[in-house]
Amino acid sequence: MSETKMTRRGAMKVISGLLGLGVAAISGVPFLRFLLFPVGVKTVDSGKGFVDIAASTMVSRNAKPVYTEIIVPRVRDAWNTKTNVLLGGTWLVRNNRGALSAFSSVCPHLGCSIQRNKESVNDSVTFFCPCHSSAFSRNGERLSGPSPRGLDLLPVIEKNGRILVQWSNTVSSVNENDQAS
Amino acid sequence: MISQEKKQKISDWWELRTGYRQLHALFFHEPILGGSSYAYVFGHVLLFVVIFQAMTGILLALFYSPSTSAAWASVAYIQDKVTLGWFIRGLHSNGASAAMIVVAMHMVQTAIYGAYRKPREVNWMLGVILLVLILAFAQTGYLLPWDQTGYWSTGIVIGLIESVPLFGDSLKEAVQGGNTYGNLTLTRFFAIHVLILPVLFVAVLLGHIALTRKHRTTPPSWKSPEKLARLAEPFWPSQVFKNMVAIAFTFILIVAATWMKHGIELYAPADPASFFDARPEWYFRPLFQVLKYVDGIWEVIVSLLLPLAVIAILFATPFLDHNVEKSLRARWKILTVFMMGLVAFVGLLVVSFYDDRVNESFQRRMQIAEKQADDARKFAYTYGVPDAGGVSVFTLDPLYEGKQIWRKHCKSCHVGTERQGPEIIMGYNSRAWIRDFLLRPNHDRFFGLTSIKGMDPVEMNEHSLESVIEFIYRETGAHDVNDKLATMGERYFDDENCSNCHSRDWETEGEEGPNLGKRGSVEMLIEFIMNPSHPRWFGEKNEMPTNDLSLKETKAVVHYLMSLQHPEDSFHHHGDR
Repeated sequence: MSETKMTRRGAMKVISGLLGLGVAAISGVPFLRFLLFPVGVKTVDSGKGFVDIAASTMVSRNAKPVYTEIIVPRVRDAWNTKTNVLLGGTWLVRNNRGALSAFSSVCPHLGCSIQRNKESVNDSVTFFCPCHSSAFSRNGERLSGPSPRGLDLLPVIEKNGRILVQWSNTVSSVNENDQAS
Repeated sequence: MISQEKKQKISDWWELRTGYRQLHALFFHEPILGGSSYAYVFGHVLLFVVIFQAMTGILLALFYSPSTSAAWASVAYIQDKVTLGWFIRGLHSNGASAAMIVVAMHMVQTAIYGAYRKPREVNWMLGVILLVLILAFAQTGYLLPWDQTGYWSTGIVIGLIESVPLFGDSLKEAVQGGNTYGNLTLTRFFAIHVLILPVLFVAVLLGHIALTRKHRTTPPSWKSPEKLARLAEPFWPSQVFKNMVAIAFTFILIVAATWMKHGIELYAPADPASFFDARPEWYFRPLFQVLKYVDGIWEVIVSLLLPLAVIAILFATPFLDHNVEKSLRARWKILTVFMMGLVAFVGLLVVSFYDDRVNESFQRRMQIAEKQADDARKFAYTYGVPDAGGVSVFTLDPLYEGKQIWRKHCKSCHVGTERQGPEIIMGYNSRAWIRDFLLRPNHDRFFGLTSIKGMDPVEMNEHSLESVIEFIYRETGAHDVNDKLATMGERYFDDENCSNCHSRDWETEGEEGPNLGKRGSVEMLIEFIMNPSHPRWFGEKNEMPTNDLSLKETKAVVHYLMSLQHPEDSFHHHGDR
């Protein structure tokens, strides 16, 4: 008698545990999948293509870098589609041969906003980061400080007297090799 | 295997630091008089459902945004975009329904066993407070999606609050956060739902559980003390086993209901300008139904005092029934009151749903509401919701411009009882519409309200008729034409009397009847709307005004008209399944 009772108690313990595990597993899997939905999903999408940001005449050869905001026509942010969204800024520089560069204003180090060094002349420090004091030349090369590389270049073209850049909000993860191409 | 000695050592280490054995003994080894029973599972099942609600609620909160512009959009995102979002949301809603049912069963069991009696009065009252908190959870949660049903039915509740004598206005403003419904209503309801109520609930629940442990389970009064003592067994494992069986059963019901119905409905975004039949969640239906039978001052009395009276009676139950005698027979009065309450609740619930079921105009309006919900979700899914949120999602409709112009310039003459021209609604230029027209062209639905009369109803055998319909249908440029049948119809058209009155070359002026070339096609509709008196059609007999629409506007309207031809093409949403 006492032995069967022990087995019965044992079975109840095991079945209780299994039922608990079953409930946990059946709910746990969808819970986790729901929780991890944003992993690997482009929840914010600012689209592709070039954005008109300024007139070509705004940036002269060898003149001071010009800061321009980048406003994209449409950004899809999870459930919203927003129009004319300010996404960030770019520093425009034209060298003495007339070639135009557009540097992302996001510091390649940890993402602060790059500023122009107002005291600088020519090839000394033209840009610096106010957070951790990385310094950059007029060509965007790193001169000093913790930044792992020079300023990130945005693809830029000039068309009908207008400057167009292509914005990417993951620019800080682009490495130098990618930019060269 | 860990040796017995080692086990003992680990146990001693923990015992010294936490004193856990006392707690363990309290929760697992307390004997239950009369033995374990399925009668005792409800409280535990309820505890499970509450934890389940907390978990699904936290998951939903990770994606939800409480503002009038974002709430609906974020819930639509959960419903249609997030992996298994529809499932989690459905679980949370069905979990709430399950909580209501289990609460009722828990209370019925407690009442039958007389478990509210001395010395358990306080515990019963804590339970009643938990019931009120659960109802508050349900009421606040219903508004959060900011969809039509939550919006309109919460509006009714706020209206009831406003009817409170003396300080109704202030109370309303406190509840809805200001002079009217808006962002502050949502932030308030959200904060109450996810912060205030959970804190209160956990606090009261801890007291409820502690007192349950202190007073232990109430054994059935119909068994003798000796028998109860003889049958006593510890909580673990037999009661735990029964609890787990009941919990698993409840869980499977919630999951199955959610899975089979593909979650729960999300209606269109809250639209203050619409006509929506507000209906509360089923557990508030009895009160909703009662309000149909009363008006004036009685409405205020019933809506405010009835719930208060029910809560008050429940609260006072231990003191209304203080008879020393424990048996069921001795407590028949209070049990009868309980039973009558339950019967009234269920009765009103059934009548309320029955009323809606047999109300055809309600059913029709619900169908429209569901179609709107489908459209809104389709647009939100495909394009995202504009910054303005909510109903601005409808501006994404590719037919939006056409519908707006239609409403402004065309609808009054072509839809409804005040019409002056042919009716143009869903199904316009479909096969069924063409058939109906051919069989009774002078009916009010077609040219009956105009001075254009003269066409006789078409009389031909079914097969010929079908082919002529197909031919006319083909002229509209429809994409699903049976070409062979249509060509046959074309021959009938020319051979029979049709062509005596109708040319179909697009050029010849209509003398007897309009030229039917390209009739109902995009090209023809644009030309017609721009110049309805053109001699190709009705010439001087035409009564339709030109509306000075631009070509672009006309195209938009025609785009809309063409969409009416295929009502069955309406939305199949892309929810993740």
